[in-house]
Amino acid sequence: MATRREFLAAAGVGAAGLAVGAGATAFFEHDDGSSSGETVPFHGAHQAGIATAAQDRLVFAAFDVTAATKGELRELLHEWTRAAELMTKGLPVGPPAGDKNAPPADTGEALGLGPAALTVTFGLGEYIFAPGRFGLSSRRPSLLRSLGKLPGDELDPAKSGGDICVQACADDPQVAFHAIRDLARIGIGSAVLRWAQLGFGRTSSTVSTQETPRNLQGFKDGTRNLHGDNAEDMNRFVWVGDDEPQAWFRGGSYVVARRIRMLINAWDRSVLSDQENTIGRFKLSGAPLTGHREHDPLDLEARGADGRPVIPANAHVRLAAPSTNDGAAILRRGYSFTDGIDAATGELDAGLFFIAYQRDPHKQFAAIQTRLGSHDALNEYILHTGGGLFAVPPGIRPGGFVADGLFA
Amino acid sequence: MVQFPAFDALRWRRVLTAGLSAAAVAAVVSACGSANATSTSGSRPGPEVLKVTLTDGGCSPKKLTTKAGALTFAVVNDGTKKVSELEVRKTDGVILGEKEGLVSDKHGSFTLRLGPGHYVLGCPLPLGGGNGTLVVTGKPISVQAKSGTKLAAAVAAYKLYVERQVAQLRQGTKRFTAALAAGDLGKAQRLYGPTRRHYEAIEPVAESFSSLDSDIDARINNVAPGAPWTGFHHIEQILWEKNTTKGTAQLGKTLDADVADLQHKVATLSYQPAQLANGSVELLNEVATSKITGEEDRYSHTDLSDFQGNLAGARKAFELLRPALDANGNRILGNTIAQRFAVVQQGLDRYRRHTPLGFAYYGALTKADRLAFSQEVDALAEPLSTVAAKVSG
Repeated sequence: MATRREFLAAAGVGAAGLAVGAGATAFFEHDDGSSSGETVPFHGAHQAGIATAAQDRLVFAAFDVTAATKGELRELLHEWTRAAELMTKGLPVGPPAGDKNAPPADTGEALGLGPAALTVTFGLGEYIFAPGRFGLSSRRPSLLRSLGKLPGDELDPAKSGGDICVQACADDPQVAFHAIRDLARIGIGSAVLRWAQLGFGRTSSTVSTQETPRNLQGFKDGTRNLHGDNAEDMNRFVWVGDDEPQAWFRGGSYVVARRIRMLINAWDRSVLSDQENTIGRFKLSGAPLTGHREHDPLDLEARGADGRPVIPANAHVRLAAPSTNDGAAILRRGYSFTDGIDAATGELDAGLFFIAYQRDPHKQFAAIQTRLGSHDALNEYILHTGGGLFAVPPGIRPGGFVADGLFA
Repeated sequence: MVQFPAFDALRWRRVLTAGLSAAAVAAVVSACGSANATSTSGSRPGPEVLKVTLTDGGCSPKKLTTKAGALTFAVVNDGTKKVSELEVRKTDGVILGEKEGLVSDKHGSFTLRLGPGHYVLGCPLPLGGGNGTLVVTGKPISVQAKSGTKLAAAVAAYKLYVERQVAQLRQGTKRFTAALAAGDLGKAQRLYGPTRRHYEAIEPVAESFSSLDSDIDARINNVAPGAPWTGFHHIEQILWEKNTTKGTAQLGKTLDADVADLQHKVATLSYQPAQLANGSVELLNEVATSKITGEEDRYSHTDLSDFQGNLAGARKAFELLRPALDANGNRILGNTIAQRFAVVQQGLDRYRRHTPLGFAYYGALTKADRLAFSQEVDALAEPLSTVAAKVSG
């Protein structure tokens, strides 16, 4: 980190300026997210931050809208879009220093850090479309309705739901934080923070060239993830297609977020074979229990000398596999988190902030989670403590703003 | 107890005198502001005195009619326990002047300059109602002048406001420290919150003098190792944690001297318009960081009374700047801020109680309201923070 910061500080605006030019071609080219001068294009058919190679850091925030009218909501989304566009270019949202008698328009902590591959991705919660609220009930994306209580849910209302979610991902934690902070500030009077989650390290590879990272259980996570650079899979599983009745929402997606607390102490004192049987993979290599290398295919039929399945019936990989879920797959984009310690137990409060994109949250996430929540051996070691479902509008046109089709 | 009526009578005279001279100065300021200013009070020997009685039914009379100009409201409580204050408000809820803490048989007064229009005489009863109406007739007294002149008027009026708050602080502190010296624990505890409210209204001004704010208002964790801990909060700790006045007499003397020092110093101050705006924001920051959190009055839990002091002071400074904001093209901003002040005040009004303190203790504040207050104060302070740049030359 220090090295990167020093470099950027020394290079100053020049580095950011160069990166803007390089970013256009670098969209899918970076492999490990280590170059913080990079710019991810803000405009496109789909919002950035979904197919984008997963950056190192996350700040995810959910807001409640306090604005009373459709016009004020529109203005909020317009202002947020303008600010997000600037920040993804590594630019401040306004002069960070100017009038001595005015608070600086930009809070300043991201100055000199470059764009850091920042993406800002917006989603809309169900209640935005509530009848009688903003007059938008006839424009609700067709699958944006509550997932209901799924097996294993222990969601804390204080860490769940919200009217608008903002996912800020960057290769520099302070760049991601700055994005959420300045959006929150711009939103004051129209939106209030409901909950927020900081993710300190990615747990997913979302393009074919990224290595699979490890989650806090020490296992490689997301080996069989969908990849943003596989257009066929993205169209099949992630992007809302032309069959969506709400024309404005075509090209969008649905995001499910889950704050999954890991019961670390219990996990850490379970023996290696238990850990591996729980997941269905070998800890070091990440290979399935039926293979030798990470990307070897799962053999869900294989049986051991005792006649029992080599990958146990309740192993996580078996229950989560598309082949056992009617082919359902999701694009996972999760991050490890910690919020210090649980004051009641003194245990680390840490885990996986799970983020998944899909075109049908009911047939994809909810269907998978229904199986996992009731049978997964992993349930002994995790708790779903928060999260939400949001409709992610399609990409933003130059000169437009997020969800502008909703107001057309 | 025998002494108190005499003491209150003295206080009555002083408050009235302060009110009269303040009105006179306000009139002079207005008159200087413009050559063609209309002053209806010029033909009168002094402010018109309007008598309002607080009764079980609220304000009496329910309707008053008078001419525009300087008006002194003489308020008497006829023995009712249901209402203890009179507020004069604009119909949009902005408080123009008030006299609080008038429990049975107490009286008090305040003076305002009012132009023609309808006003609310607020005598809020516990279950609602009780208000009256004030109709002011005659020619407008507001002075149409250039922005710079409006700012000069704002600054002059703010100086008066600060001096009056500090005068009331000084009076209250004397009564408070007299109770400490007399060993009257109950009385000292009753006077603690209402006295402090005047300090909380003008705290940023006190902060402009190097050590006065910490001498008067430091919390235990603000005191440098080895340095003496003086002021309200050390006394608060003894009164509530140790439940005694023992050991407070010397602290009381020091507090009296520090408040007297403050009064002498504020008399020498002059202000810039931006200071009013920034002071207003600072007061809201005080609300956010030390009142909503219960940090300020951690032993007595009188934080909501201090909250009212901060809010009143912040609103006063803003309302004084508002004519200048309106005149220089920022009317919408002014309306937004005024509306958000009203939202916070409405929330706080739900915690008003008919007790000497006037407010519930901090423990009554619900978790949901703590969050709501924080967000409402944010929504108010953010646009308010842009005012300074718009009123500085």
